Amino acid sequence: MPLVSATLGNILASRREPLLAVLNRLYDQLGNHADRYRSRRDPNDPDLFDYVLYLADDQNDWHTFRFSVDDRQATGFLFVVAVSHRQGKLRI
Amino acid sequence: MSNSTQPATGDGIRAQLECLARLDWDMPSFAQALQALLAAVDYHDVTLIRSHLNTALEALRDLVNDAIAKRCASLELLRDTWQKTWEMLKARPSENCDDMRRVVEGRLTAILENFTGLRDGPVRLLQERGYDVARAAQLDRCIQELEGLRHGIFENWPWSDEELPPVDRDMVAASRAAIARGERGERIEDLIRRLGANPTQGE
Repeated sequence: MPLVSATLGNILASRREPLLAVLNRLYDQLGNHADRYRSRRDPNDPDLFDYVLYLADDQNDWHTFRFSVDDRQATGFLFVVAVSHRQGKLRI
Repeated sequence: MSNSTQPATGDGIRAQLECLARLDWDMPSFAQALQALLAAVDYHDVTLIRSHLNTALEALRDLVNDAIAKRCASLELLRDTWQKTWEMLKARPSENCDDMRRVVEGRLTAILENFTGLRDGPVRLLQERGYDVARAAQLDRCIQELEGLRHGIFENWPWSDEELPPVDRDMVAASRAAIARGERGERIEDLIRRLGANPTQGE
């Protein structure tokens, strides 16, 4: 959804490479292996499951992305309806 | 040179010396000194024991100084290896980084234990007997640097079982409202293409 892609762009400061890495991973895993993740239901919203992705970026930051995926809006479709994020610094 | 060496007699001392002898010291002069010392222990010759013990400890001191120099020199290689590992991680977002963490942390911990083992074992033994280990302070600095490296790497490394960031319920509601209005959003592959790349698949 537009809000999700806009938020992702903000988090990664529109840096192309990490953004594409995340999007390609989403595309691959949700497109081909969504059943691996469906069982991790959002405890407060049974229509959602969590897809969690970790990213190390070129500014020595760790990112934890929690994507909320709605698999009950329409049969055969997955809607990534939200993303939340945590960031941590690699200090070396 | 120490003036506080003690004659070594008895089974307990012998057992400790044999433990030392079994370590992979790669130092012929120390091994020879230790063998001579063990022979003196067998003969219960206190004068000879004292003499060979001193020789063995001096050889051990040289060996320990060499070992410290080698270990501290390896720190640069370790940093370089870590940078390469981080470069690999950057290219691969992942659903779980626990295994990688276990591998890296296990290796770093083993190296740190090796360093501290040298400090708390042979270096301390020599110092307590009055031998000056010239590189002891260097070893302390290397251990501090290694501990700092380990802390810096793992302080924020995400575990898969740690608490997740809270769901943005407002974003969920706004996205659902858009779907209800018939706005289905952009397919991920189309978004990737809009960014000038081709969607890729495969693990």
